[in-house]
Amino acid sequence: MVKYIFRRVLLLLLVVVSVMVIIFTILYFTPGDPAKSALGQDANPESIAAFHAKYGLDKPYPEQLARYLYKAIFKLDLGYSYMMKSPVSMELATRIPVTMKLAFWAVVLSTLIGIPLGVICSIRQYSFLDSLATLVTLLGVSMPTFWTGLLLILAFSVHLGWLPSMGASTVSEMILPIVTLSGSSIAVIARMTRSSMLEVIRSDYIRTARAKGQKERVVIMRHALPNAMIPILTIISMQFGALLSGSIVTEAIFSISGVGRLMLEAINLRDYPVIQGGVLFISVAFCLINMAVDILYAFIDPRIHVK
Amino acid sequence: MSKNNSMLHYTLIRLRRNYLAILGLFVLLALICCAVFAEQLAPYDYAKQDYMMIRKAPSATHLLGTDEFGRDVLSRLIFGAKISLQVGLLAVSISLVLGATIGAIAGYFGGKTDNILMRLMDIQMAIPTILLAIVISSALGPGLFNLMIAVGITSVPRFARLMRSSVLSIKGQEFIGAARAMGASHTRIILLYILPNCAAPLIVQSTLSVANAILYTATLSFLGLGIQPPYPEWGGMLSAARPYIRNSGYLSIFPGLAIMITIVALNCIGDGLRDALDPKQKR
Repeated sequence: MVKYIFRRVLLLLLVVVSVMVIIFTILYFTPGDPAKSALGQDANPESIAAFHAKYGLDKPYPEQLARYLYKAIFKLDLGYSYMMKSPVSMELATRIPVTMKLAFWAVVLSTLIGIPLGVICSIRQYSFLDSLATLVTLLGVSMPTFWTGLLLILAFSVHLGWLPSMGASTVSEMILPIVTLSGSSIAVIARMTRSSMLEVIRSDYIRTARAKGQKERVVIMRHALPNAMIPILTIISMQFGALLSGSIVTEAIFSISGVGRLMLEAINLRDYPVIQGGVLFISVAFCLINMAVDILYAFIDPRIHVK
Repeated sequence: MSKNNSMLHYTLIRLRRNYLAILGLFVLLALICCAVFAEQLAPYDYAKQDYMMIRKAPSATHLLGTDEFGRDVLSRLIFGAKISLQVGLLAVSISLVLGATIGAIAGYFGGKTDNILMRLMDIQMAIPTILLAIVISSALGPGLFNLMIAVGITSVPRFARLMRSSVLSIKGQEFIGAARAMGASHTRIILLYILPNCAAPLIVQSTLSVANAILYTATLSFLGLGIQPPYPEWGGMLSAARPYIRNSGYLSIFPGLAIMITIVALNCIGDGLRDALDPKQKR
């Protein structure tokens, strides 16, 4: 078990370094000079050269990459933001809690609604409720996040005037962004729960449980659901990545200053260190969650780490 | 060939029983018609501005109203279908060709080749897809073609994994051994014997991927990283409608509806095809 966890952590580090190399490389070969976006299009050549020298942009690609990796890995230094003139890690530190808070509550909400919905549909397969839920979840996975957000603003802020359409600092401000974020995740989780449960419900041990006269509620909750959990957990952990990157859209719609909005601003201003930092944060968070879930499986199901 | 025909025949029979898939197919056909005959169908030119008709609510002359430049929303939606379908199809072609090639090579040759290629795919999958699309498209700059590449690259790993697992399950069968014994080259075996047998999952994945690609395209354009105005991309139209949400809410509704209908149709077709092509996997 320890060996398995150790291997997973090692793999995670490898993946993180590779992600850093990929993002750095993509941005390095991006046309456009960050010096010009920072200093203005008509900045004089001397100040541009000074800017390049200050941030090491005049060095060849391998040297820049090596320096970036070295600083990030051994000193946890993600570089300086060209625009805000402050360390990227500091900028991220102020923004991460906002994004994490939204993503966390969105995961909670979509799990709390998605799993029961899927379970109910699987118990009452082909009933009216099941058809209705299937239709709604189909619409749910097909709705673009930003449109959900706009519709919610239109309904609850513009027409009804119940909820604010900007920010995420108070509870009432957080409702719309969280619902927007969880919309498609609820649908994805419900669909996965339904199909996973349907598979389990047909198996022999469920028939055995029923045959020995167990109450239906116990059969579903104690025998079926735990055995259907693995694919559901996988999809939830995958959704977490989707939610973190979905925050770029949600934060743009609701004017929330989280990591997503920071990255979007950085993209428009060619502030490469900030983009790198943001992508790195989201990818690392995503990988950590996936790793945690994988290790969790190995505890739940001892067959898994044998491979 | 006759076996292939009969399989197609049975697939179609099974597909015909799936009403949602048929409905999706009709919707898709209608959209394709919109895209192909956009010039003929659209009542107005998508870029024609009319400053006397700024943000007029839906009426008899402008069925879906006009936008902030007095352009006809319906005409823009019809032209938008052209852009969305183009980007969707071409982006998926990119991921299909790249992904299937990588997956086939990895699965067929196995060993070190397989290990290296699939680890690369794993690394790409560590970056959430929409995030990667955003980074690539911001690196390439805005534009139709760049958008296709950005969206196309993001689903390469999915196709590669699918292709690899199909190849692995087929590789060991006798008819591959027979082909090899007859002296067929690797390329010939992959293209003529393996690929046709992997077609079913690839077709399903392609259909679902077109839906994803259209969704990503709209998202990127909404964020200002995709197709630039005046081209009528659905996501871009929603982004332009945002400042007017208080007074002209209808501008925020119709483009989103167009995106949703398209994606629902493609998802229905994809699900239907999956059930039809793989009768063992019951719902």
